[in-house]
This record gives sequence, structure tokens and C-alpha cells, in this order.
Amino acid sequence: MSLPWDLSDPIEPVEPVMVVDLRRCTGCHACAVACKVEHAVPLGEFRVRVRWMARPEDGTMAFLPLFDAATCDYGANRRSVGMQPACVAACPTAALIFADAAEQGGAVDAAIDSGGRTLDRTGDARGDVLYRGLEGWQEDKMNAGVALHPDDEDITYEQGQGQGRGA
Amino acid sequence: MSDGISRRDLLQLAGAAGSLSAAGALAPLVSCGPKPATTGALADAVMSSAIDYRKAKAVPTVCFGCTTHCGVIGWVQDGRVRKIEGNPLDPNTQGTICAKANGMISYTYYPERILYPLKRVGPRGSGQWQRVSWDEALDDIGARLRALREAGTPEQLVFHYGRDKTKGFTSRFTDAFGTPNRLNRRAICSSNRRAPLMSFYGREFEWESQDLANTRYIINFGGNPMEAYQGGQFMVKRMMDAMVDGGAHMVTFEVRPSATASVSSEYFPVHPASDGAIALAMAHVILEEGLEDRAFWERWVNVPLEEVRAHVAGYTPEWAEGISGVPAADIRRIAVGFAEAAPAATTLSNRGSAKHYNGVQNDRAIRMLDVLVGSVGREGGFCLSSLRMWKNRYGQWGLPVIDQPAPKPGKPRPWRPGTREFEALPPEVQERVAAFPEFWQAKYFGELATPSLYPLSWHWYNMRVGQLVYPYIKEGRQKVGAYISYTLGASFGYPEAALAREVLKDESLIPLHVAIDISYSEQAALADYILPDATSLERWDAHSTNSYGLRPYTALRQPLVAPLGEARPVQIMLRDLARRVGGGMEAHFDFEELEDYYREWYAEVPITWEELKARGVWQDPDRPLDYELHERPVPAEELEGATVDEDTGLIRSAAGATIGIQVDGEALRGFATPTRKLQVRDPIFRTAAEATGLPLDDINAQVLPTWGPVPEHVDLPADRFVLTTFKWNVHTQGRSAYWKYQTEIVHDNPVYMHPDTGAMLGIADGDTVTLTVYRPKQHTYRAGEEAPVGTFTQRVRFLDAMHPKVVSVSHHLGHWEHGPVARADMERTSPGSPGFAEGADADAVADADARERVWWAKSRGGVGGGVHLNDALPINPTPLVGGQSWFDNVVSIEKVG
Repeated sequence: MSLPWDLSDPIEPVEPVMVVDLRRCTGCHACAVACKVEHAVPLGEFRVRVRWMARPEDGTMAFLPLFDAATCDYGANRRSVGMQPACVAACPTAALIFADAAEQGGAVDAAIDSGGRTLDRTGDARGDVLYRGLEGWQEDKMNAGVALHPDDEDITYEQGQGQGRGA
Repeated sequence: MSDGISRRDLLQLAGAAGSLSAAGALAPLVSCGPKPATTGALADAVMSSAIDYRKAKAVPTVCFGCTTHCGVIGWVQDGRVRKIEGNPLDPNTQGTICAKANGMISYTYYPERILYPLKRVGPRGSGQWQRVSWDEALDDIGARLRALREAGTPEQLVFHYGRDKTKGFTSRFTDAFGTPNRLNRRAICSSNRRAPLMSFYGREFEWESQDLANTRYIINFGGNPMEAYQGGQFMVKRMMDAMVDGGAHMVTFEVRPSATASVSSEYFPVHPASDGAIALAMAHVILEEGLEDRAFWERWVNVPLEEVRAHVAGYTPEWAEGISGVPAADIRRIAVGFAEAAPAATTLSNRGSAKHYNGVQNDRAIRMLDVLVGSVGREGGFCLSSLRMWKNRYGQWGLPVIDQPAPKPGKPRPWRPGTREFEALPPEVQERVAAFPEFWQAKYFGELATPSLYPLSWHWYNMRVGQLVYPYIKEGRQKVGAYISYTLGASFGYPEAALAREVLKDESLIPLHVAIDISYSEQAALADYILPDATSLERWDAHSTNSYGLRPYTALRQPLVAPLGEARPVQIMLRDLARRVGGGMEAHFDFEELEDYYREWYAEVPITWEELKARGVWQDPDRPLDYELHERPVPAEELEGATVDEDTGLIRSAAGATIGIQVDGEALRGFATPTRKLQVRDPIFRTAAEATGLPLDDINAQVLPTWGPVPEHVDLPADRFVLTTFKWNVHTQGRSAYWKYQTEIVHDNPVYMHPDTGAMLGIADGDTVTLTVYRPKQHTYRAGEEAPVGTFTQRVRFLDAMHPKVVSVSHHLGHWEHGPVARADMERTSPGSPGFAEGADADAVADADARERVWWAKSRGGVGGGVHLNDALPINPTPLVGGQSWFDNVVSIEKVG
């Protein structure tokens, strides 16, 4: 009986790129927790973290997954047996696609043709992640990026700060 | 190429990051933690080794991270579960999971996990325990239960669960014992939402299955499926695909910027409890514009359309704007957009609309919109698909029966006037029940199981009113001989939780308290015995629920590993108790291996047991989708010997059961209601009001969907606000705060507030405030009392997208038990840690994260583990149905620092 989780050939793109479709991200953190469990990442360290930041125009939440440049290897252990990186496999809306820039007409081309781009300001995050639907103000509010920073305004990963507005 | 980004640029960036070469894969990175200490050595060793997928084995099971129960697979290596992922064979989740699924690993290998039976030493609640053997615990508990039963007072056994997914195993025990007091938490949760559905569609459909994959328009009244919603994980991908790829439009009415509101096409902050007003105004617009599906309404609805047109005549968009804050022009535009997209249009609602004094009526009004535009059962619309275990029920035609092995015990008999149990009731209760219509007298079982003031909490089936259990026990309405808490967090999570703790500590009210759980919870801390349950990674269960793919399926939960320590599955505990109680109970628990019991449970499913275990899921792939179940013809073989009632059109089988309805000369299934029609008008609300003395002009007594304000929200002063609570996507109720990765993400619960509200009160972002919570005003527990319920103190955070009249606080946090991760407390350890885990088991569970790395602990400069607020929230059952009105709380707010 063949089953969907049977192992298969390694996934080794010629030009690996993580494509993030922010139109589909719901800020669910499934990717972040999957990576933690997959790689036994200690509390306080992060290889992928989803930022929750309030939009300046209307206060609704915008979500931004960031991948740590120093420690994220796009799930090499899993890819060696034909599995997608833990974050990609965990994302319930297919907002994360591990793609090959060398593939003509693939996910990378589709993202670039729709205005996708990499971060101008990366902080500690991987710079080769291609974001579709990035809102410019999000990079202004990133601070360090993946690592926690005392100026972070996210309502997840609370560090106890208010913004001192009012009164 | 756009904007100068080329593939070469991306390569260069990758090279600069240093982690990947252009040539391909790298060696896997390995987490390097500190050297293992003597305690937690195995746990730390596991944490520092990569998963070897060539050695690990994948076993399918069903998640237990919340109430959705997604099909998952667990990767097991060297006898330890290492990873949880989605099961692609689950047709409901379509292979997806959420952030909570891997919490199952956290709670299985957790230092505060209870691994041995414990017996209290010293006063109840003093936190002193001794380890005992299973035999000693079960012998003592079994003897005391036997005494209750042999004394002829089995109803004095109360079995109160918070989360029970044994799909009938625990009721097998309570039925065999002879007690009706198997209590639950349905009213704490979703009663107000289920009642409207059962009123419209019958007992079989207390939950709907919108056809989200194909919808074009969604109006969401305060639901949050992207984060916290029963079945949300079945909806998320379908909804996002519909919006992103299919151009579907979603409007959300909410009080705060939830993830669902944030990804919607439109978000309107609305005044709490105004949802029904908006919905009725939309009905008004749809009728005014002639956009209703008249043919559907006239064919299926039990009230003339003209009567409803007259009923909503005064519910104008301008009227609704005054109540909700949504501009009238938008209410019109959205109503028209919804109706024009129909039948591929659907409403969506859950806690936000229902958890109010007028919540049942809010949801009836919302549900009427789908009826009005004829999207019921249609592609892209508001569909119904069976959500119960397969036993030849409506909608389950042709499915194999999946049922527990025989012999099943009979049910307890109702408490009729003249019986011993009835005569022990307070006189006013006897009077009320004796005057009930016969169909309620026939299923009355006392004030805990079937509270007489809330007949609609047990009219369709036993939803009960869990938040009244402790007050009723304190008032002496039911004598308790033994109390079993099963995965119950009442001492923490119920409204006025302090009352729950007070009652539980009182040995004159609760002579024996046994807690069955996996973690040292606030509830377990107040027990006499704690019996360690197997976790969901270590147990069997049969499972079925409604599929948003509109085709029924069943999923099997099976053990991935043997239970850790001396933990045992609850099914084994109950079997062994039944054998000690004896007196015939044991005949219903005649099995040795639990796997054999479940194999028999699944005997009729047409694949082998081995294949079911290998795949985890079964579905008939050729079964037609569950569109328009009401239009299905009744098969000829069922019509043999059947009769048709000329007046009602009801078709009754030769055996006397109602099987369908004659419509235009055709024998059709119709709806699963007594009339086989869709019941927009339901006299049961008036009947219940008459039977309980609720004034007939109360909003809850209305037979048509109607809107009325929450009594304490009328003329709300400028310095009073509405406090709502909410759930996060990484947490579930009160049992997830010790799941380390989830609590790392959300460990605090500040008071979210609009900046204008802060300005008005002289409060700045980050200030500490005390909230005082006041009693509700009408027709509920202690209504109208002047003294506040209680207070709590927390930090404020401004959010621009809050409704200015609302403050919102998440209720998952502020634990004083469940161990260091939940308490964000690295110094004080509860009696549970790590003394419950000894020797090799301590090595297996106490990993360094829980011991050393809770960075958000106050002692580490962090913000801490949040504030507990439930002691300050009033017990507040909605009249008649009894659902807890969690979101009506009126508060005053005072800056304290």
C-alpha cells in the first residue's frame, strides 16, 4: 500500500528560493511551531518567526514570516528524503512554497510577475525569500527581524511594551 | 522581470546569507543545547538529535489539540513521538494542521505530566500527595461507587467532563451505573449557537458545513475560523483559496482585529450583540429589493414569506446603524451583494454573535439570511452534512454503521412525580416540572442534568447548563456522593471560578473528588485522587464529524506509543471501575485489549482493520456530495407500507417513524425537523417561556427571529464598557498554557483597548488598569445585584482597530498550576514537579526548555504568564437555552499604575 508520507527522492532545487504569498498568510504560526519541533530549537531562539504588525492605515493585522539567515537551511534534513521543509509542509494555506528559480514558469516567475520582491531591509532574516504582497511599511517595523527586539510592537511574542501613546 | 529582481540577484542574496550553495542540499543543522542534566537526560538527548526519517515510522491518528480533531500523522522514532503533521488522506483538513497540533508532543513529554495515581494527603487543595498503586486507587473508588449504587442512589455520581471525545464510552459507564448526571461544558461553549440551528434544521444539524470551497460571498458575524473555531481548520484553506483564487468576498463584523477580520475583504467594528440587528436589516433590504428566493421559501419554510416581510418592516438599515455602528449604506450594499451572489453565498457566525443575552435570537436572524436567498444546501452556500457517528441517522443513508459493541446498557429512567428522586427536589422545582408538557416530563432527570429553568438546554438533546452546576450543588439541589472530573478545567475556566473551587473544596458537598487528567491542572489540584490518563498520542477513539468537503468520513485515533509511566487510557480505567462496582455493570465492559473493542466498533467499515490503521481515515469516494439533502427522494423500499398525512404531508413508515414529506406529489426526505420543513418560526421558544415564567415579551421568548438589546447595555454610561474575551490560534481553552512552543508565542493577555478609550479615561498605552465587572441586569443568575462580581488588574495595549466601546482580554492565561511553562515561574514549583515523574520517567519528560528557558518569566525580565480573569466574570446563562453570555460583561476601568 503506498501512502502519501512514503519517502522519495531528495528535493534539491538548482536555485532554491522560498516564495511567501502574503495574500494567503493568516498568521497562524503553524510554520514556526513545526520548525521548532522539527529541529528542537530551544525556547528563545527562532529559525522562522511570523511577525504580527498592525497596519498603519486601519489597524488590522498584517503577517510576515521571516526566516533566520544564520540558522535556517530550508529544511535540508527533510529534503534529503523528499519531504518539504517543515514550515512549508505545515502551512495550511500554501502561503509558503519552496521553489526553484531555475524552473521556467514556476512559482518564482509567477511571484515576480505579480510584483513579488525580496526584502530591502533584511535585518537578521534571509534575504533570498521572495514575498508576494509585501506592504512597504512592514520593513519599517521589523526591527531585528527574526530575533526578538525590545521595540517590537507585535501582539504575539509579548515582551511587555506599550507604545506610550496617549494620556 | 519586474523591478530589477532577477534570478541571479536572488542567487547572490542566497550566497550572501551563506546557508545554501547553488549546487544543492547541505548537511542538516543540529540543535546544540546544553549538556543533559541527570534529570531529563532522555528528553534532552532527544532534543539534541535530528529526526531520522529513514528510521522513524509514520502512524496516522486524530489530533486532540482542540475540538476540531484533524486527521494527522505522528512520526515515531525509538519509541518516542517526534513530529506531528497533517494527514493528506483526511478529506476535511485536506492534509493541513495548525500551530496547536505539535502541542500534543509538548503535553505528552511534559515535566508536570501526571504519570502515577496520586492520593491526597492532608486537607483537600493543600497540594500534598502520595503516590499509590492503581489497585489501591481503584479499589477505594470502586468501593465507594458501589456503595452509592447499592444504596439505590446512583444519581449521586456526577461525571463532569470538559473535553470527552470517546464518542459514547463514558456515557456507557454512566448509563450502566444508572446516573443521568454526566455533565458537560456545552453551555460554557456553544449552546446558543446550536439551538438556532436545531430549531431551524432539527437535532441532527447542530452545526453547519458551509460550502466554502465554492462560495462567492461570505458574511461573517464575529466568527474567527482563521484562529479559533470548531472545525476552523477545515475551513481555512477553503476560504483563503476562495478569496485569493476565486475572488470570493468576505465581510467580517467583529469587535477587534482578529486574524479573520484582518484577512477579510472588509472589516467593520460593531457594537457587541448587534449582529442580529444587522442581519434583520439585511433581510429587510433583500425583501425590499425583491432579491429573495421565493420559490425555495414557499416550498420549504414553515411560515409565509409575507408574515416575515411584515415582521422585518421596521428593521431598516438606518435602525441597524444606530445599534451597530455599521453605516446604513454599507448594510444595504452588502445585503444586495450577498443576495446577488446567491446561491453561492453563505453566512458564518460563532461566538461573537451568540454569546449574549440575545445571542440565540442573533443567530436565528443570521441563519434566516441563507434561507431567504435560497443558498441552503446549494453549491457555494449554507450546507448541512452529518456530524454524528454513523447509526443510520438522517443524512447517513447507506453509510456503514459505526457503533460500540454490544451489550450496551439502557438509559436511566426519567424523574416522574412520585419517584424518590422527584420528591427530593425543591418544591418550586416540583411544581414547575409537574406543569411541563409531557414531552419534557418524559426526559426530566433532575436539576444538574436537565435544569428546569432552562428547558431548551435539553429539549433537542442534553446540552445542559454547566456553569450552574456548582451553584446548584451549593444550594442543595442535588446531593453528590462522588464527583469525577474528566479533562475539566472548571476551577480555572468557568465563570465565577472561585465558586467552583469553593464547592470542590467542601467535603460536605463533594464527599469524593476524583480527577482524570494528563496534567496537574487547577481542577486536579482539588481532587482526592488523580488518575493519570493516556494522552491522545497513546489512546484509541472512533471519530466522525461534519466534513466541509460535504462527504461523510470517519477517522481513527490509535496509540503511537505506549502510555508513559503508569498512565492508562480512560476506557481502561472505567472498565476496571465497572468491574469493581459489579452488580451487572461489568457485563458492558467485557473486553481485555482495547484494540479489540475498537476493531469491533469499526466492524462494518468495508476495509480491513489493518488498512484502516494504516490510512487513518475512511470515506466512500463515490458517494454523492451532501447537497440539498432535503430534496432527496425517499427510496421505494422505505415507502412500502408507508402512509401520508393529508394535512401535513408527513410520510410515516410502516413502523410509525417519520421518514419524509410529500412535496408536489413527490416523496422527499425534507428537513430533519418534526414538520420536515425548515422552521424559521418556532413556537418552542414561547412554550419554554410559558413553562418557566420568563416574560413573553422577553427577546428569548420570540417565535420569529427578533432583535432586542442586552438589558445591561441599554443606556450604557460613557465610562462603562463591554468586556469580551477571545481565543488565540496557538491556544485552546484553559489547557494549552503549558505547551511550550505555543506559550512562547502567546504568554500574556493584556487588555486590548482603542486609543480613544484610553484618552477618554486618562490611560496611556502600557499603563496598568483594574477592571471591575458588574452583574447582568435581567433573568439570569443573581441578576440585578448591585455589588460587582469581581476585579482583575492587567496592562493595557492600544489597538487602533478595536471597537471604542469594547475592551478585550484573552482567557487562556494566568495559571497557578500546570507547571513552570504555564505559570512562567521558574522558581516555585507546584507539588507536581518533578516529583510526579520519577526515575526513567523524569528523564523522559523534564527537558531543559521547561527547566531553564522560559524567557518570558518575570524573574528573567519578561512580562510573565498573564492574568486570570474568570473569577471576575459572572455566571450568566441566557434564558431558556442557558448558553453562557461571555461577551456581555459591563466593566469600569481605573488606572492603577
